[in-house]
Amino acid sequence: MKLFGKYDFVVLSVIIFLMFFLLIVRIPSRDSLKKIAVEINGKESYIFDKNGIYEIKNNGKKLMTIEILDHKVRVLRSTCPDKLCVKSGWLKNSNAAIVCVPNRIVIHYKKFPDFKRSGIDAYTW
Amino acid sequence: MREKYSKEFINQRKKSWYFTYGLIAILIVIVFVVSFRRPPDYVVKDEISLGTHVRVVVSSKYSGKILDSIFREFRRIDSKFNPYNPNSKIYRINHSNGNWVEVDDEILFILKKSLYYADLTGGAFDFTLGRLIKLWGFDSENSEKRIPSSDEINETLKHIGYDKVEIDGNKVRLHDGVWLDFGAIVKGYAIDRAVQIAKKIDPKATGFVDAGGDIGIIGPKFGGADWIVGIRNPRGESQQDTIGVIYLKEGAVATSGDYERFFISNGKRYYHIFNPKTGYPAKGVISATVVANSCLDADALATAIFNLGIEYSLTYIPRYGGQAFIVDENQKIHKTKGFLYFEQVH
Repeated sequence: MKLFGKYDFVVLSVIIFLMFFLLIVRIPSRDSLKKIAVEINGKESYIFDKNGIYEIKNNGKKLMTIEILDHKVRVLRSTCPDKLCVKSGWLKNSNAAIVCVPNRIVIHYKKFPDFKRSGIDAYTW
Repeated sequence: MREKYSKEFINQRKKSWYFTYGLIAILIVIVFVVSFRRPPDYVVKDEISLGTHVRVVVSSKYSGKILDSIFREFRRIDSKFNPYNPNSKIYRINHSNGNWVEVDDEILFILKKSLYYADLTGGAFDFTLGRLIKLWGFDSENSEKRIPSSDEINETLKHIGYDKVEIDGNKVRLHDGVWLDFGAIVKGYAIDRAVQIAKKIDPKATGFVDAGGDIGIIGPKFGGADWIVGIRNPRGESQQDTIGVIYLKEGAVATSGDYERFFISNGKRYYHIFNPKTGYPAKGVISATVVANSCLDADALATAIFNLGIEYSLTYIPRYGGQAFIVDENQKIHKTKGFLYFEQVH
């Protein structure tokens, strides 16, 4: 005669499944780290997840052109006077952002931050 | 009636049940502790304020309230201290035609702190450069930047000098038409206020406030680890190219650089940190990072280093309560001895 009946295994399986489910739902999807969000005036206006060159517009007015390549992003052209956003170069770290103050645009990875025990969390500049 | 199972078998099965379900109970407790008892995830909010990018990262049961309160405070400080906004209080003081103006405790605090640093650094930190900043076009990101003529600069220098600011009780008077510009200190002050607000709402909150690369720590990462802050390479191709890393569990760090607001004319770089004696951008330093207890102090000292010079800064910045990491115009790095402390994990 077996020490465990079939209902014991059912109960065990359900409990183990629930435990793994609880752990998994709290781990962010890696795919979301690859999406790039563009906020204009504090509102998320664009989400990109494919390579390409995209125009960023607000109320039909073209503000800037960005390039996305292999999950990195940079500003190619901007209507702002100082072009500091263009000079920012590639955005590579999910804990950083490209900012255009005159156009009030913030470009960052969709799922941020990505804080770990190691790796840079912020930049002083 | 015949007994179906022996007593020995039933006892064995009971023991197995106790063991198995006991194990499961322990696992459930562990999973719940890991999943729910750990601090809440970090929440991030970005906004543009004080003419720069502000990012707040916070982990708290009251993250939403903390973020709303902090950004409300940033907007308030921005509208109050922007000297080029006709609705701001500083604009009104600057245009008071040499008359006494009554100020509130907050403006008085910033004024006295600015005077303290101006005195301490022998004028290397000067908060009366408003007219000069406007002349060069650095008063707004939308202003046209240009190299003024030497006549224009000499004329403007007559309206500069922290010794032309007079305080009597809660009143202030500006002589010789000087314009206040607290740009080199108010960002640090806003960060200190943000950290205070977060800690007041939730003393257990952790995270940091980052305004244009000046950072104030709310609390250690995950409740006990250092925040890892990269120091931007002033001549790097990307904002994320670094020349150093520091580890902070508390306190603040501020950096001033010739790459924040600048324009290039005939191959020469002109930027927003001025020598109050010449009226031209300061020379010799291209980036200065200061770690201090408060962001206001770090911000003021990082700006002062541009006019203090490297040797003087390495000696005196620690006496003023900061530790410095300086990059000179040849891209050579200079550090105060105590800066090493922040380059190590604790």
